[in-house]
Amino acid sequence: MLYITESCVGCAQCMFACRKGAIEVEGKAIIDNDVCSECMRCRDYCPLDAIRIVSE
Amino acid sequence: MKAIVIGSGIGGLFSAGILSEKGYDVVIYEKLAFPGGRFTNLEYRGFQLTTGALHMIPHGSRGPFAGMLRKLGADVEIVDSAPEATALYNGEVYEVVSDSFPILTVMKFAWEVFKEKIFRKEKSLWDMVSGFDPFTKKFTRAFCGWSLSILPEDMPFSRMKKIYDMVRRYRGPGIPIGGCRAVIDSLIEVLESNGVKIFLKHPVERIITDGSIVRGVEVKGERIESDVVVSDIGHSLTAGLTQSEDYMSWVENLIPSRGIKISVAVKEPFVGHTGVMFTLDTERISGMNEVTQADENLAPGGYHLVMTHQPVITSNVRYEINLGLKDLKKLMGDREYEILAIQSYSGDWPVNRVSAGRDVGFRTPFENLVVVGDGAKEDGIEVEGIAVGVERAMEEL
Repeated sequence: MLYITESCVGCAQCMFACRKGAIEVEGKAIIDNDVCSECMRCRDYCPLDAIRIVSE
Repeated sequence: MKAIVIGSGIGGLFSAGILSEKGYDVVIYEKLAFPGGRFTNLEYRGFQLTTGALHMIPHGSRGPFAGMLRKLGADVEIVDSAPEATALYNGEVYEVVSDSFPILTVMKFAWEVFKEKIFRKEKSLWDMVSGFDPFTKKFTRAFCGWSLSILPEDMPFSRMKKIYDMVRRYRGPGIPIGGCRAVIDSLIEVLESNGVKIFLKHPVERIITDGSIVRGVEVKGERIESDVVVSDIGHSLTAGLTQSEDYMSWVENLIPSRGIKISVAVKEPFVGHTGVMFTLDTERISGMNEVTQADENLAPGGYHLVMTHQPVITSNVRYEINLGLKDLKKLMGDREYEILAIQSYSGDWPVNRVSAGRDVGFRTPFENLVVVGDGAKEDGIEVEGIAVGVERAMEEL
């Protein structure tokens, strides 16, 4: 499961990087973990290291 | 001689270009999966949106930025905006030329400039224009918001005078064909032919220091020696990598500038020209451009791409976004439009790592470590200031 940390500013780069359309941005990024496949492409595009993975 | 560049934003790529021409063996380490930082394209449904910059070069083909591209041999076509700017004021569109301002304002301005020269009393830009006519006051606010992402209250007049002189000298903006990414691609082509190596997904973990000099960096746990280190990640993050207490306390008070960009798809042109449209009747949005007027390939067929920009004034980004959206709705009236993305910029991914007018220069407490990019601009709007800053920093090395 992915989560977004406090350092997210809402630059939306993860939203563009995501191939599944699992991310929306409203001031900050919001991940739909039901859609997310944990490919971690978003993390490669996040300039703020704001995306973390945790085991459920 | 070996040089390491941290970050592949526009400042990093310019620096790598100059150093490789001077004969340095240059390696660039980029944390992210793509080069270009806040100056490249993000493709979305056939629209070329951006990571930061609004596909606009403040002084077009005439300014320091374009001069740097030519000097490095990067082949980019820049369409100079014509008209340079319009202003939407009381529901009417005016072209912004020197005649747009009342003669009394022009005379008052000349008087204020003269007083500033003689008495050298530091004033904010707002103090300076507060006695002017309403159009000039609103235009000043919109210009500061659009070009510098700050309020005129926070801009020292003396710094603004330099920007004003640059606008007089180099004129208005231009749009690179292919957008920001075309600039990055063409720079990278030049760099690669100069033998520069770029490593993506390679964050620098530490800058290795020894007294007042830098020995190299640590990347993926490996120590890499270097004669020179150029950092394109701003003073604050650079200071953190050196772990130098002195450096960290020196940069503690640097304030980044914040902004919000709304990318909008429209079928009918809204701005209608290649320049900036300053919006004077709005609560937050300072201005907008329509880059598809210069390059139709920045949007899919039948669409125009409009990008608005606004500074962030309060600490509540959601509130600021809502004010921007309200402005947009009012501006668009009954036209059809679709919001493609709302991106905000602050903290370590800001509009500018150091607010305009508060720049601290490229030097660090270490002799062979310099900072370039928007965290160490010289006077000049956005990437123009970056180009001038790189030039000075490279001369010093």
